[in-house]
Amino acid sequence: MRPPAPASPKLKLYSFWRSSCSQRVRIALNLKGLEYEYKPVNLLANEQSDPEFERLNPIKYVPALVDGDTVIADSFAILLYLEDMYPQHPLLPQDPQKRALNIQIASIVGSSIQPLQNYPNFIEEKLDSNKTIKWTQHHINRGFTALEKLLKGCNTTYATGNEIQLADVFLEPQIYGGVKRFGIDMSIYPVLARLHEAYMEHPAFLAALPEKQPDAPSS
Amino acid sequence: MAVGKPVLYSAWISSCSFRVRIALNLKGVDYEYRAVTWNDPDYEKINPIKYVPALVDGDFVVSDSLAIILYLEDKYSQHPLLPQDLKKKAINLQIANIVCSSIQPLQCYAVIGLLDGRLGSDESFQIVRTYIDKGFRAIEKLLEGCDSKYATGDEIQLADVFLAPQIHAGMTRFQIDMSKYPLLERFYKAYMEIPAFQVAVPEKQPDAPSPGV
Repeated sequence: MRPPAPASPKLKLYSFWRSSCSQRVRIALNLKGLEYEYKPVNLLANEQSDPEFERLNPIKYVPALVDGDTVIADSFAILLYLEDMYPQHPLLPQDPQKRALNIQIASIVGSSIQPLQNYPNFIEEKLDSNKTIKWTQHHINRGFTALEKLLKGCNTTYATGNEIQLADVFLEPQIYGGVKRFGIDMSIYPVLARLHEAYMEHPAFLAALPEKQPDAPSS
Repeated sequence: MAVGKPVLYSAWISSCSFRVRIALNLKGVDYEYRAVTWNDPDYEKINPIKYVPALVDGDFVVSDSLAIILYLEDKYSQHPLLPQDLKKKAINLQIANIVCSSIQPLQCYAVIGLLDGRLGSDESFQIVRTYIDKGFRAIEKLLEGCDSKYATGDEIQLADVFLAPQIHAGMTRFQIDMSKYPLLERFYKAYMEIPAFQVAVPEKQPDAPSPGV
């Protein structure tokens, strides 16, 4: 467990316990050893529409990061900001090809999988719950199939090497959510399954899990 | 082995490909255009995940427009697309991600096609318009009071490279009324005066259908 944050840390993270985008940033903050104040935004109670939050992020998504008088929203933008401001435990390698692979993996998760798993919330009045879960599973499976091909032959501890990098920070919340919430069968994705086990041994990842957050339901 | 010019696998109508074409043009990178159709069996050998666009640079293959463009940023320092200032850099990345995560994925064919079995094509069309509207309104708020030539300054940057194709698609494919988004409307007119953007438009690509067809 993380020690409690100091009285007024410079960094504040607006987060929802179950949001995989928020989870990415929580992992990165933990990896870089950064204390932060956790500011919960209850998406199920539409707190993202509160005027105070909308001022921070007009598209009303979590996460948003406040660093002193700087506000950054969008998990990818936040992570690259953290890379620049707090270079300890770098998440992007120097080599341009390895950097590109990390960003490609992050993008597959962030653009081709995660946004489509939220989609049914808008149209759930049109599709019954059986259909919405199949919709979500279809998109996760399509993305995981692509990731498994991209990572074919991976024999390093983590996705792109023996250190945790940006790709891992994006992969784990997606895999965790896929397993925990959407019943994805990981046995057909051996590389992703192996990576998931490795992440589940890492303290920075464990402390960032949805269930460990201050706003997670207690039961 | 001599390294030839990079090869861009692209589809004329793909707004993701359009972004990369703009970036290559801005940086003055000479590239070979290879058109990809959705069911192209040979493409899988080049890029096992079959996404478009993909850039092949020597023996290195990278797909995903954001990964390709940031790779180009690393490799070609001319016409940088990300500012040094961290706040401005973050705004550029946020706008790029609003487009490529919150708007474009909803309009791509796979999504519409999957839905069409349960929803009428009209309903799918309206849902796409709703997401474009939500994203455009957010960007307008984010950039409220912007008085620079382009989204984040007087030079074209990453946000502009992502915005232009999304606005183009909104107008030409989804009947978006850009007068509701005055900043974006103003930027788009400015983009369309720049040759790097003009030659990258879908209609000018080698695989675009001939006009009148």
